[in-house]
Amino acid sequence: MRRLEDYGRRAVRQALRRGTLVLHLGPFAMQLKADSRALLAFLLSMYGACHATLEAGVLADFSLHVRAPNMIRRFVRRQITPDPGFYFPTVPLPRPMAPLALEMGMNLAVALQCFRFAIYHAGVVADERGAIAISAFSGGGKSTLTAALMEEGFRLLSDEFAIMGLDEPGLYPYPRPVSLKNASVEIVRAFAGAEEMSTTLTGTPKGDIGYRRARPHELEMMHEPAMPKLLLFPQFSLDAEPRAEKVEPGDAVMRFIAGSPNYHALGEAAFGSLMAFADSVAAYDLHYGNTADSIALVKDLWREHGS
Amino acid sequence: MSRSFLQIAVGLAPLPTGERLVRFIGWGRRAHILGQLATVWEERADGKLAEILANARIWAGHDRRMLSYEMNRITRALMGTDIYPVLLKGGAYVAKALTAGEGRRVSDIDILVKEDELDRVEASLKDAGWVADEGTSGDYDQQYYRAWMHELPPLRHKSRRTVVDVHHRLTPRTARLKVDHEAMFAAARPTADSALKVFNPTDRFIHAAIHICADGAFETPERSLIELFYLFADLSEAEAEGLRARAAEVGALWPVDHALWAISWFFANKRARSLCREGMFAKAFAAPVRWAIRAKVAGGLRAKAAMLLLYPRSHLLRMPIGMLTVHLFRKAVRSLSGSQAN
Amino acid sequence: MAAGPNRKTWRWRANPRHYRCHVLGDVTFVYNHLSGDTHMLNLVSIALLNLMAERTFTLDELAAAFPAHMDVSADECPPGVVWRLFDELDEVGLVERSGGA
Repeated sequence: MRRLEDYGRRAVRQALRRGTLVLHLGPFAMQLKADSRALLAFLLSMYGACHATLEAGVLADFSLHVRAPNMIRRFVRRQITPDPGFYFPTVPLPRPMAPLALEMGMNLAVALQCFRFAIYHAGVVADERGAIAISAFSGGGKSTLTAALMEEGFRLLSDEFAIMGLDEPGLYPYPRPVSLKNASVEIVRAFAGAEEMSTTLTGTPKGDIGYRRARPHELEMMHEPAMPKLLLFPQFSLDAEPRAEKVEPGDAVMRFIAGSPNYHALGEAAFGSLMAFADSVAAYDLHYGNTADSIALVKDLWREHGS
Repeated sequence: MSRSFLQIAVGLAPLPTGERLVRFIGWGRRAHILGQLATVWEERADGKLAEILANARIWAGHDRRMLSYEMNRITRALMGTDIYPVLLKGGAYVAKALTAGEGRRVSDIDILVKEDELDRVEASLKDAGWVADEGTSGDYDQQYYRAWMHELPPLRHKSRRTVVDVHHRLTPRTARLKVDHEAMFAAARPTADSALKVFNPTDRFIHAAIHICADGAFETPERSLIELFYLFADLSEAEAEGLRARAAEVGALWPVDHALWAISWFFANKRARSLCREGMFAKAFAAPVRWAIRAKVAGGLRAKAAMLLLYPRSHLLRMPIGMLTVHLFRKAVRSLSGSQAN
Repeated sequence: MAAGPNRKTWRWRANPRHYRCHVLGDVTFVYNHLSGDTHMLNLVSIALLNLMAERTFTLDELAAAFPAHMDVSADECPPGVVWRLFDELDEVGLVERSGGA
């Protein structure tokens, strides 16, 4: 299948307008429709290496229309909002923030419409020894740590979702750009390099937002699941002494379920995979005050558990 | 196009390919019937289509489990009473493992009890954790339901968040259509593993026809038509023969005739057509309604016009006109004052 | 859910065909096939569930049998505690009345 960057810009723009552009990313095909220059530029820059089709007649798991919230907002103080095809309250954004609307919309579509996998709110990276899931439960540092581990020999599976099989605990790649907020944008730019980053969107409802691109080898491996070995709950606080504290498996599972939009709907198959996951991972709270400390802690734990 | 899509949906016509397949799946997604498509087509599908249908099947499986468990909980709540409600609609389809219940998305469970059991049922459910749903817990709504409707205001379980609608009639007190729900109740049968009963197959079809053709459920036409089609297909020859006589007996002949016409038209169903022909159907009255139903299914702008025709109609059927205006007026006033409060 | 006035006569049991257990450290996760819900039970609750899977009990019999099952005295595990644990299992549909409604 061709990559998005293999098509001409004009062809991509037309397919995007017609709503026939389909991104084939990991287990999901996502049909996109939008008429936005900012979104087109973002897509070509951040998803260039992603498999895509432009012709009509290709089935997709989800469809996403990034559009004006109403007729007036197409013309006056122009706004944009993601429409994943079902009602969901979202804040309309100024048009230049279309990339944020796209990313939010893609997250919503997967979180609320995927039932073939159990979805948990976590970043996931892996190497040949297995996968590390980085839970968003504690609120602090998931994406920064995910991006940092990409520089330490891990491949990105996903920044936003741990996508777990049913009846088996394999974690499936969905390598979209890593979403970074505020100070994290500059931290990641410093070690990943400016050419790996999107233009920063300033003054969004979530503050300043920048994206770190998934790399070509991560897209090449997007159909290769990884077995989970480590579950981390990062808790960044300025000047914290670095330490890792073991979390009881029962507590870890309860926290992990709390971050799932679909666990409750999946029945026994999700219970089966979650219990197998709990048996195969060691879970830790990570306390740290800077990225270097967090990496050192993860490397120590990986020496112990990555086998 | 929708007529041919409906026939594909129930397996009467082969699955399309290419762009038409994409349109078909998009249609099924918007109509919330991908689960029904999965029960017919998943085994014969591969690639992305198989994945899309598997996704829909798993999603609908959740609704099915929810319905079964709510039956279990209602049985538990009524334990020690001598009340045996009749499960209506989706709940009954799941309890009887009918094709009509497979892959169907549902949000609520509906039960029918005798009017003199209503207070005890409400008290038992409230003891077991059901409370008045926020949307209708106000005094006006509570009074409106109790005075005029055929059901209690919806009850929502405080921890499971599921909703049960407790009916004591099949149509509102005020409706022109007077259905003899007592005769249907008397013919209901127990289910295997709960204290709940279900209608016999004939009455099950009749109730679906009332609900869909005379009670406003035509807002989801594809789903409703598929439901009628499967319920009709489940009738034995003898049951189908006796359908219109029973419908006349319980006072529901015209919704049943509408339903039979819809099945014969949309699914090219010969058995329904031959039953239709028996009907002494007032064509002048029926034609606009049939146009509206066809237009609603076809979708688009004409569907909006059709809803204008069908919606007040379904309200009219439930309430005499004077009461209707008072009700709509109060609703309008309330929504205005609501938006001011924001 | 109130267990009702029939404490003396109604018999209750847990039906292991309706749930699946997985032990994780000190706790047991229980998947309820009927509700589709996952519950985390501590040592005491899972012991009560396991006891009730062995045979049927009236609530009085349960209050009498459970302390011995846990190897503690009746003072340490009074009937009120047993009934509260029972109510929690009843509330989430993990126990059922035996012998029909």
